[in-house]
Amino acid sequence: MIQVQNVIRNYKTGETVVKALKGVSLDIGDGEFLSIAGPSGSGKTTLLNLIGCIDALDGGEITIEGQPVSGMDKKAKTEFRRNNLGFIFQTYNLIPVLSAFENVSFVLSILNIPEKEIEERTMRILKEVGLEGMENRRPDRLSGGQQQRIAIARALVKNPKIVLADEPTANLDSKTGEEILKLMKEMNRKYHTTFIFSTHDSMVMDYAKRLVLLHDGQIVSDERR
Amino acid sequence: MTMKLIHVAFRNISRNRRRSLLSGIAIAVASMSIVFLFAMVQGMRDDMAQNLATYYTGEVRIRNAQYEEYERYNPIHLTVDWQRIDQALAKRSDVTAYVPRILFPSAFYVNGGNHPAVGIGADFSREAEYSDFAASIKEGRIPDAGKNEMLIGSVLARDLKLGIGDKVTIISSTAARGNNAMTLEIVGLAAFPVASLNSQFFWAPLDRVQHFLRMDNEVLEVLVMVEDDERKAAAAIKADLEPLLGSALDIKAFNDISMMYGFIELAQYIYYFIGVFFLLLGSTVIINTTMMVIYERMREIGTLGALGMHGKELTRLFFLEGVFISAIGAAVGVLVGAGITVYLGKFGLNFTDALSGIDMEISSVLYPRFNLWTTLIVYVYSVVISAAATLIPSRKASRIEPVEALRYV
Repeated sequence: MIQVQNVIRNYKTGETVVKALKGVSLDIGDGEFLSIAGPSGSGKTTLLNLIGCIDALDGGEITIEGQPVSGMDKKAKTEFRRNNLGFIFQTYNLIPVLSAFENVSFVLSILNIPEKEIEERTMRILKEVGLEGMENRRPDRLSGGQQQRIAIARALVKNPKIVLADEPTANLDSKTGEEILKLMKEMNRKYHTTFIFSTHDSMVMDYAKRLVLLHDGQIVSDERR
Repeated sequence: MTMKLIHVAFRNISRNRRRSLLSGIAIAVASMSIVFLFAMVQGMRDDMAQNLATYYTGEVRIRNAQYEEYERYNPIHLTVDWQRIDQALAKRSDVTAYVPRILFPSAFYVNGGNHPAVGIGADFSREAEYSDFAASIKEGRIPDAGKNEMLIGSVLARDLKLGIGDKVTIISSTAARGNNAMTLEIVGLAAFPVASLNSQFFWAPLDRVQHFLRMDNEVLEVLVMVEDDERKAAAAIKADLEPLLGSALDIKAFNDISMMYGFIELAQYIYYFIGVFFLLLGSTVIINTTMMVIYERMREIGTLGALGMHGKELTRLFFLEGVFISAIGAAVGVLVGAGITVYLGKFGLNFTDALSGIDMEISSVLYPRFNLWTTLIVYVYSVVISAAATLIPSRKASRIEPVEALRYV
């Protein structure tokens, strides 16, 4: 499904060039529940961003569902993300002026889906992530765990092929983090959506069905469980 | 999608209420000022047109063709044939009223000294048809035809310590270029809206002034009120009268006579440009706000970009926020401006002190003229300019890369 071939990504900080990824290659199949782990600065987020088509690579190629996304222009990448990818962020990144329902349904309105269908799908996914009855609450009236549940619902509501999560439990306590992981795993099982998430938390790594370890911009191990 | 963007943009206004309020106030103050400014200029223009037509030139003025050339020499011998003009104008359907006048410089011999004053010989029975002349009488009455009586400006009377019943000897040059004097009794004190009319002018019966100035049945000018366009009417009257009288006449519309009125007309157009600058100035606040909002919501821009929102949709989101603030601010400003205009249009703005000693055909109390159509235009104008100004920073949102925005702290 996803082919990452010899991907290179360099960042320039002043006069210094930081080699974030040094020729990473990785094949990810349909419905995988994969964790990219490694210490800070190992290139986890960079790899996620490149697969998520929000960053441009300096070498190599990334193909998703047979489409060479690395060669796409900005507009095509946006269109691809809109239709195929879901994102979950460490800090949830919800729109504070919108309710739980509106935060989730907003993604569907971007896709110009009819109002009735938007309502049905949003209510269904909110129920699945355990937020039934809280759909009218704004993010500031919800706990961190509940906010991350909205973020998961927002990522899944459009039935994407891939969900990318950057350290999804880093801002949560261990109990809530575990609940979120269980939820993600359940969604992965139920919808057969490919989940790729970055972490440096060993508890999170334990939940992954496949664990890719990065160190200094290179894959040092790739373990299937 | 558009509906959703409108919804989000509207909600976003409340995220930082104080800042949105500040931006809205800037637009409101600009819109309010423009509404009031335009109403004030329109009020001044209308007031001046009214004063010119009533007291100075009529809507169309008929004079001897040579009068203007020699005006500085007081050429009261350059007259027009009042009787034949009267007969001709009476037949015209586009003429609503007309009065004969003789304007002449003179001196009041009072308390052993001479004091300059401008006399107006007028047919008071016709003046009543021409304008609400009686409304200007502050005390006493209008002079009677055939009697040596005068109506005097209240400020002139006060300055010369004169009152009703006092007799004043006036001295002036006659049409035969000799000097003459005549004693008139003050029978009325007038309070005209124009300061100079009160401080420099006196009015006497036309027949007595004709006799005093040795003008037979002639007059210096005929002031005419017309139904339609003054310039067209002036041309039509000229075409009618000149062959009839067999002499050249100077017939002009009031807006071609008064230089000051021309300035006010010009000023009105200049104020349209000043209005744009007012709004651009107000818009700098909203530009600044939008720029700050974009930097504050950088991560949100990144998130929305990652979720698949195109650059132009992000631009639209921030642009709509600006439009809402502009629309609300402009609405408040225009309403307040209209309120102030209506209030002052009723009670007036008193410029008596500011205009004292200034020889202008503008009333001491000015009434801003509320115009619904102008107010609506100002509203649209305010929203369009300030919204357009918001577009500049809003476009920045479309150029931000999601990956950079998500890294933004």
